[in-house]
Amino acid sequence: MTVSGPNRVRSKERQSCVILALVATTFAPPTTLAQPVDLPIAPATTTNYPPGVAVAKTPTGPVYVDAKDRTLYGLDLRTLVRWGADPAFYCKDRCADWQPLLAQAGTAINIAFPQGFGERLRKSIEDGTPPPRGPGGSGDAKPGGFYDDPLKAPDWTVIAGPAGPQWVYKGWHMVYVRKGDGRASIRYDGAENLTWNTLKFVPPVPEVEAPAGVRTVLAEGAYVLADKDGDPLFTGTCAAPCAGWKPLAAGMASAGMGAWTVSNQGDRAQWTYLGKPVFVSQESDPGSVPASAQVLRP
Amino acid sequence: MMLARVAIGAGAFVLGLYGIAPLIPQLSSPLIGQPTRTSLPVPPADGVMGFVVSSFIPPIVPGTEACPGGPSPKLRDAYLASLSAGERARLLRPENAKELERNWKLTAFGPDDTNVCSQPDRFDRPLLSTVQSKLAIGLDLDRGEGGGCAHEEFASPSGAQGIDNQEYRVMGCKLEWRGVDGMQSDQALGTRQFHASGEWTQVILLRGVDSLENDDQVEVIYGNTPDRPFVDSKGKFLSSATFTISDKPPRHRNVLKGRIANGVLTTAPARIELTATWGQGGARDIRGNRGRYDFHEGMLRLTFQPDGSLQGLVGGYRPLFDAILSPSLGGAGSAIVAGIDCAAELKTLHKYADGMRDPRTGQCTGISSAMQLSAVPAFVNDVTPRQMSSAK
Repeated sequence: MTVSGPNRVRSKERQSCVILALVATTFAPPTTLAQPVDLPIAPATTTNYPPGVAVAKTPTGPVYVDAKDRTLYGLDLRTLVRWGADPAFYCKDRCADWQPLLAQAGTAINIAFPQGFGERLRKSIEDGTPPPRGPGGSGDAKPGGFYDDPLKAPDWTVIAGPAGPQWVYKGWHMVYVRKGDGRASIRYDGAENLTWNTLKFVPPVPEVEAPAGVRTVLAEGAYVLADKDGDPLFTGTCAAPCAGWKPLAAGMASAGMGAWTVSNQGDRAQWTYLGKPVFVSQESDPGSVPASAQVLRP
Repeated sequence: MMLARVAIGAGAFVLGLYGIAPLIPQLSSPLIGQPTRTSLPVPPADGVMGFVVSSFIPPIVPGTEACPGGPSPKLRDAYLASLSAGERARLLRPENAKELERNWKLTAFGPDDTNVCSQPDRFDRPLLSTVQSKLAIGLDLDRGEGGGCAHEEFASPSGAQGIDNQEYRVMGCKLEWRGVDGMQSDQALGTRQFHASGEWTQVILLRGVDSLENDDQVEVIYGNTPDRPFVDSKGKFLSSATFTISDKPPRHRNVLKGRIANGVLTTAPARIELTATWGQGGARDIRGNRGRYDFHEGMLRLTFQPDGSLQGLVGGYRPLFDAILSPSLGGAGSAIVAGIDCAAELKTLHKYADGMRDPRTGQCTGISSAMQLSAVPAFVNDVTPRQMSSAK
């Protein structure tokens, strides 16, 4: 089972309990945007893809594919600084086995690999002027939608590449397909020391209204509600023995929110969802909840 | 949390060692990796022992005779050496200091927005001054078989022959490794914070230990932990803290086959990967997130100490670029602030590469290396099957 952790839950802190509000801040979404397997895979933020791009299943999970069902790969620009100061042109005289996913001719360029100190620093030394105070770029989207900080870019942008305007995914990954690749193949995932990585699709995170500490986690391709540790929440009626039915504690919360209410029927306050008591699974696998239970989904 | 883990005690028990440690007279430690001549404690009944690595530094043989030409030149030195005697004398006059600074700093830059540290392959620089001494601390990695590329081996200060540590030969005259007084320099302390913070912290878990003197079969788990060691007011690691191994990236867990002979634990050659992440470069350069000690054909040679600690070495062949990853990530700043000539270092590493031969090109792509380590007793929990990372 794979469980990845987008945590974007819109919590409306109607409770008077400050503690809950503090806890909620610890579940900020991961800031690292990546496709390589050694880093968290960021969820998609849109269902609007470049022309011809779709999502297809592979044995290791869904990936983006082109109009011919060939898996899209990202050339991770962050791994190529050793080659040159603008890795967007790394494939100018190489990468013969790879075909860029080009945007339509004339498409406006709206992203660039961020500058380092490089040329500006050299010039300041040459001219005897003060050195630059920070890397190039303001980090913000500029008027007209140009992104010089890939961390702040939307899912799909267009960069000036060696063969023309080329699609980029999640700011860092110049999009290619492998020539001669089979349908939805993942054969080259991680090639060349994680420089080439399949563009893995993680569904957009649903917005839910839930108590602080409750978040969404992805399990088997679908989101479930989970506690702060990522263990799924479930509801249902327990027929003794109830050893695996750990109540979702409401702590000091006294008021509900939306479909969530607080029950004081038991030894301590427990969250209920649509009037049914909520429990926390002892395992991260949603399939491990008791047979009579129902996993909570957003 | 730590204390709670001690209380529930699911880890390695070294209490037997502590129990008798006060009875053992304090003796000076033997040489690194050498057999101890004092009696050692009896291992715990369950044969499980844990340690946290408290020191992890590149060893040098102290003294100025190793580098008779003085420290390896910095960028400024290399620039001055490239000039005629007259021009050198002119630029060294105080009134020309600004011109000299401008000129040597500009040597760090090349065309297309390149610099000697971010793109060291794009520059052809003079070689570093290398260690000229016959002595080095390290391990016999090729075991005399010479499977790598031709190289001159060292002898250890205690007389052991066949020591492979060409990284020391290349880097051992750099000021970051050896001060002008010939003693350990910045490297000895520079990475200490990483081991004290949980960022690079290493632990060792031994299983199946029947004797600290001789045991033909010991399982060695050598890995990283995110848990932060307890330190005293001087920063010294305290024993008996509890740690849990993590193999979740960027951390690693290595399973090694060990044996103990005359109080020295050695492991069979295997790849050993350990965290060495670097923050420089920021988001635009992700290599720092993946930095690691990556010892190919790696080995441990650790000597049990009467006080229950371990001292010794880990060694192996490192990919060449790994040796300069940190300054390379620092980019132009490494060059013009610290004066580091990454291109010269990489060129010299290539020259002395002695392992990881590429079968396609016949070139060696790795260099023999060793790190000196000390470890103190600890409670070490292994990764549970549920925790095993699926990303590896």
